[in-house]
Amino acid sequence: MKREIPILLVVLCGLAITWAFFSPAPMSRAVNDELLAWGTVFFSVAFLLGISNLVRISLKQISSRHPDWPYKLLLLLVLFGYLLIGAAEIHGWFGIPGGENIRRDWIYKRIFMPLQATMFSLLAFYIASAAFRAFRARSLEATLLLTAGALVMIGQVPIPSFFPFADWIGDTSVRLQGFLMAYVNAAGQKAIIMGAALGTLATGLRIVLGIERSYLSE
Amino acid sequence: MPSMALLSSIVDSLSTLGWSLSAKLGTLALTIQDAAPASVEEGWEGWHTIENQKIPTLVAVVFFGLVMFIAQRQAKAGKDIPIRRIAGLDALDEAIGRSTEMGRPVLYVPGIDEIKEIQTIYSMMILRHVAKKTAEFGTPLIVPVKDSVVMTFAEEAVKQGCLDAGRPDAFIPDNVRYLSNEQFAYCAGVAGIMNREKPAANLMLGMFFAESLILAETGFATGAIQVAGTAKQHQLPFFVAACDYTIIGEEYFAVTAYLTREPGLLGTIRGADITKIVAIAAIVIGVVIATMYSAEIAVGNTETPFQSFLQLFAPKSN
Repeated sequence: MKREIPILLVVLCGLAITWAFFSPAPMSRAVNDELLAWGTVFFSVAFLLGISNLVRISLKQISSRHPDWPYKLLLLLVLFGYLLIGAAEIHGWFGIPGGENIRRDWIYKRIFMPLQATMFSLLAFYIASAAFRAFRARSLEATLLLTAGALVMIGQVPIPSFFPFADWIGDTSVRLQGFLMAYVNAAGQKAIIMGAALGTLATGLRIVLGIERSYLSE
Repeated sequence: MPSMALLSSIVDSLSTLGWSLSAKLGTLALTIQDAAPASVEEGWEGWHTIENQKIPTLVAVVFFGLVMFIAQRQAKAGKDIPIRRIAGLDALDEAIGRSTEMGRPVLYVPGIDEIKEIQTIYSMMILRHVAKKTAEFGTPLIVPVKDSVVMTFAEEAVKQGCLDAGRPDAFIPDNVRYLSNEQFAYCAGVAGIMNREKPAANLMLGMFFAESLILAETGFATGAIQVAGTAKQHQLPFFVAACDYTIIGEEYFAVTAYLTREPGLLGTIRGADITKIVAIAAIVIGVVIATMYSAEIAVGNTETPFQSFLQLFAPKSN
């Protein structure tokens, strides 16, 4: 029964959501929304589990003087500090007028967002280093990739007018780039999308029909 | 009651800090109220009908389901279903073996999407197999997660994998780590684990977005063997460029069948292949008919595509 009941629940929920997708009946929409609401409630409550995991592991590392313990201490200070500032702003603690969000907003916009942007901007360097390795002409396939990559790149940038045949090179490279992206690249991408869509459908059916059960405990 | 007031205060604080539990519940309640039918009779009205524009989807799903069911029955009856060698999947064992030899952990990154994404669900199934292997070899397995629900699934998958291997003691709860709900904070956390704990194998299987290349390049810089797998086509080029092995698109959804060789699962893979052949045939026929039809329209002929198609085989009258 420990396995059968969860499988039955999965099958029933899967069929209800599928029915809601195909049927125009208001009841099917209501069932669908109700199930999604339960899911959102689970997600929201599980957030506390995530925080407890983070705090538990950090406290263990601090108490055992793990080499990273100062970072863990900083993490906990920031986590609870931000929580405290938020609570103080909402409830008007420590002489702060209630209902404000100036401090939280400042921390978020002046510290957190620049840090996120910094991580994202690293992508430019990583793309350069990955492209350097990928575009080495070691085989026929790699040479084709290098040629196609070079053509697409040339097609994306303006050719300076002092170059000989600048207009011709500009027009031709734009056309070649367009051809490669619209036909060769799009065809490859659509093949992958089609395969992935069928794989998704097969996996969905396997789970909904109870064929795939490896997500369940024994 | 003071305790209720305290609880209410905590929930208020959480909701305003972006963890909008109460706000979400309120919005959902309104949504359900709006969607709920006025009466039971009205609610069930049209329950047996299908929206017109969704009929082709239903036909395709039913056809696909039937093909899959027949192929699965054949497989269970003992029909041999060959499955081609997928280098990326064979490399999973190689990567774990390498980590064991080097005495370093295996890092498993299940992507950054929520559990409702099918790729994340599937990643949890693969994680169970990986956890079984690492438990058999006695190699530590680190699983950093971005979503707290995924964390509970990951804990269960790793625990179950260790049980499958007969090594429940191999499960280390602290190795399934919730890092952050923010994309780049999570990314920074995983990159930090790669640099500090130096895993010998990085397995990145699931749904990835802009962080894919940052993770793959950081892993490459640490010298780890890297196996990546996703059905997200925009991230595949990054993984192909930066990882040793890449599991592409549909291969990703064949992992459990490939690893377990369970006839029921192999049958579903065959069913998907048959459907793909039918889809390819339909696309080719569609392209031919559409091309012919557009040519006929251009010369002012208004025959239907099917009539035009038949005309190709009609005897010539001289």
